[in-house]
Amino acid sequence: MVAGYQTRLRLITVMALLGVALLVLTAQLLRWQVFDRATPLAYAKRNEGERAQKPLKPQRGLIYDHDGVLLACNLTTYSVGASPNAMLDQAYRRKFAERIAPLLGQEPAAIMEKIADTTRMYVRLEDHVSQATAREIAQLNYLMVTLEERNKRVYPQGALAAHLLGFVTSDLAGYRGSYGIEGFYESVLRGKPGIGIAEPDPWGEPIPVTMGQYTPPEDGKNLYLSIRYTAQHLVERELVRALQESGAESGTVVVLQPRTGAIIAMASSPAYDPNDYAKEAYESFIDPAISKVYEPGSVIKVVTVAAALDSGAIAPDEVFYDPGAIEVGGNPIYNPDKQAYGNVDLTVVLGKSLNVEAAQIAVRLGPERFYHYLRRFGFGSPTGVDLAGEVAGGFKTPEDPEWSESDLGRNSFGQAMAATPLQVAVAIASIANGGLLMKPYVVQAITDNDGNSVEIPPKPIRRAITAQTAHTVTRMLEKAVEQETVLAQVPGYRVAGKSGTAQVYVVGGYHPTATIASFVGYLPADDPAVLILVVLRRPQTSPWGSQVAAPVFARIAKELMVLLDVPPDAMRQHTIGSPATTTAQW
Amino acid sequence: MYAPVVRNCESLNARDMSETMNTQTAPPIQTLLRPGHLVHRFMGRMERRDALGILLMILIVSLVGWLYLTQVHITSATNLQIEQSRQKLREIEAENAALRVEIAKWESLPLVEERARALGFAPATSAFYMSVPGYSVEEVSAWEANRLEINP
Repeated sequence: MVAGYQTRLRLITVMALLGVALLVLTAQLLRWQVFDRATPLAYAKRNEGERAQKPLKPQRGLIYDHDGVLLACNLTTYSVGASPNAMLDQAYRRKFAERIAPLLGQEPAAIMEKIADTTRMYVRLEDHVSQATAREIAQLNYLMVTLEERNKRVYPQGALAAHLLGFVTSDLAGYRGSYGIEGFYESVLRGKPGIGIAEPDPWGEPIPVTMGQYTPPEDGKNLYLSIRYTAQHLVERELVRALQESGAESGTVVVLQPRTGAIIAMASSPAYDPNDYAKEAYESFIDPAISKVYEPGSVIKVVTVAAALDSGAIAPDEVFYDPGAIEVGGNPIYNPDKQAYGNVDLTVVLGKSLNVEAAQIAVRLGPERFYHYLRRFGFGSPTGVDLAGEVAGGFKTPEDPEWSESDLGRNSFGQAMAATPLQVAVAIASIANGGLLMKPYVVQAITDNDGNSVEIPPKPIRRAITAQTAHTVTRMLEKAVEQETVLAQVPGYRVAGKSGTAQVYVVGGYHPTATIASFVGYLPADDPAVLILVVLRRPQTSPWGSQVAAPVFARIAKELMVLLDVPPDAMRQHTIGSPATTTAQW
Repeated sequence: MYAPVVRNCESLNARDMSETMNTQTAPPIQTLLRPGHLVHRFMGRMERRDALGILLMILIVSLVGWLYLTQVHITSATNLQIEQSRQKLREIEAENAALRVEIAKWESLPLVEERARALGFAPATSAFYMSVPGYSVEEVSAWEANRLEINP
């Protein structure tokens, strides 16, 4: 019985203690929830802010060419850091350096130097370390080593299509696309960050059990370009070769589909590697095809003739008298070779690129109609291509106080006006396209990771000239190439084209010798698959577009016809004409 | 049978006890307020059933607490697993991206060209087209073919 009493006594004691503990807990809960609510609420609110700041980064959209070749993607890399203040022992530091240096591709001495200051809490040992290396470092189990995950934009094809693609910069505000497609489609490629709301532990890491809300990041959309990797490679290769052969300072090639405005290839040289953009000068990033203007020169004669034919100011079979010189607005105009040609028709005017006749035609057309047509062909305003940094170019008009009639004469053969290579290509492409001006584009489809896809259809801007005029001008350009620009000819294909040689404008006038040589053409002339514009700046071997730019056009065109699977004229017409009776052609 | 109030009272029989109680006078107030006295009185009133009830309550509270903690543990573990899976997914995606870059680099034309030359291939200088008798060819121009490719 005594034992039972003691048991009861112990029981009562334990219960009393529990009761007291319960009372204390109840009192504390009452204090927090009733009497002193403000203090814990303040704590909660303070933590609330911390919890909300746990953004989950989206993956930037990928960029593919027309055939699905990867042009831009993301790579996860790591920044490796260390805390020298946690390695006070010299021998330990040396051992650490010897173990980690080979993984980072550095010498132990370099690591030792970085961690020499033992008062520092953090030093960065290496950036952009691969995932495999990061894993090896993590397996070393060094507590004083930190691995910080980073995203890096990678361009697997190196400098290929660098100006077109642009690159991605990173600053305190995060990653941002600059120039080209990366810049123009920044909002599409960037994606939407997600958020994970969780209470932080004392080290700021989220406590999994408290993960109240998890909104996954929305990755950026992927872009499929109209650019064909093989065509781009060909164009860049030929452009580099052209610069070497002609001694030109720089060059640009634009290849587009006249019927759609799709840019198949576009390159400028010198280019840069977007993977190492930080090593390049700012000027390298500017795409000369869309952001730098030049005087197009004689290529504009095509527009002048087309405008005059379309407006009825001249007739297709009209014969002009070429005296070798003409004065327009008090400014004398000569032919490029300073020769007089007497009676000439429009094919000769275009073939021999006669300035005097171009000026005569512009005068007959009158400034109002001439500038109206220049605008209809897209000059003076951006083409609207989906690339960042496009400029409008321009020319003076009678509305400008500085305009004079001499400007009309000079504009007629591409002087005293500024245009980008793409503007020139698009304008001439409208003639190849039966007079319909198309908006040039680079992105033809946008897809997401769920398999949704949005196709971007070709977009006509306006009709520049009638189909009949376009057809007539094409025939003239075809004959001009056939008779005068032999170097632009492509065996098996009829080519319509025009060369241009523009003087280089410098402060106070024109450079005495430097030129910008160009050639623009399209083929097959009766059903153009591509238009190619070649621009070479300051060539050394010859100043003439017909001499240095035309052969580059021909080389590119010849290979492009194979790449784009366009059979020669004879074969194509034979096949289309009588498909059932065709025979082998060797 | 319940235990009596007074210590060592097990030796008293019922009569003795009744006499003791009858002859007992009220204790002074100091005695009543002594902690030992209070405990004695409480223990005198507490029965086994009450103790069982209290134990049951403690058991229920413990059970509820255990259930709660179990749930919290499961949720925590699941969250941890989800977090680990997400991390794993990120790692696999990163590895995938790295492999994609590697493939793209190996597929790059300069490299393919170099490899082809090493294998004895030479660049084609021209293409020959031939038409096959009886082969049905649609009247589609190059432009049409390209347009169809863009907008299937």
